[in-house]
Amino acid sequence: MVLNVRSRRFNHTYSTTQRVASSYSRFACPERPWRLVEIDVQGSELAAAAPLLDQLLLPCDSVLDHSIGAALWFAAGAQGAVRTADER
Amino acid sequence: MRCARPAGSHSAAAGWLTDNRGVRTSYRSPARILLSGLGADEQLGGYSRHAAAFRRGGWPELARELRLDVRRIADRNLGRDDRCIADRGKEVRHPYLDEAVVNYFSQLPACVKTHPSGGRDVGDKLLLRQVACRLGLADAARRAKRAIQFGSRIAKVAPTVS
Repeated sequence: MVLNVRSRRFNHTYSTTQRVASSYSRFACPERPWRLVEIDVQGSELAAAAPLLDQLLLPCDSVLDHSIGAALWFAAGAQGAVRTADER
Repeated sequence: MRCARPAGSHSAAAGWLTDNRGVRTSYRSPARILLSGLGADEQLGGYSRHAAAFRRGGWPELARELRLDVRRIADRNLGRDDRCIADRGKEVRHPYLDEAVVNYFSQLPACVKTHPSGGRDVGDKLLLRQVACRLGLADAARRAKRAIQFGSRIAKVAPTVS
């Protein structure tokens, strides 16, 4: 499984990066069923998680720490969407 | 594979969503272990400060910067990442920080690991690019990395978080 976290706010088209990551995983372990889980984070979800993340991150407190910590926290939540076309 | 229902909400719990790429279905992974790529940049010269160190003092300075990065990775990264992931009841593992891998990388001269003037899609983490090439992943070998916080755009979602 490949987890991909991104924000919905800017309504990006899906970059090739995540498709590519998924195809690499299949290359490395082709007999395994891989799922690309798309985790779209809303600004409101991020705001709701911010107090908890503040606690988890301490003593790390830079902007970079918060950005990385949030991405990892949502990735580890592992709640997102799969496309049926991606399933094998 | 198209679903007739309109995409009313982007909430992950909303069930079926459609767009021009097919049907999206809500999904929560039951996996308990996450693999992180942390340590590749630190050991193999993936950061712009590594190129800066090279410009400042050549290979010796770059090698010094790499050693420093490896030494402080526990303080800078590991605790932080573990706290965020453990909060979800999952464990993170770091293949690039496996003892044998770290020992091997630490014995190699910096010039084998990275080519600091080679550019972001060629020179950084040169050793990994060569491995990817040998494995037949030619396009991966030439791809510029995207840092997790920028790849996810999460830094832009929360401009006020500081």
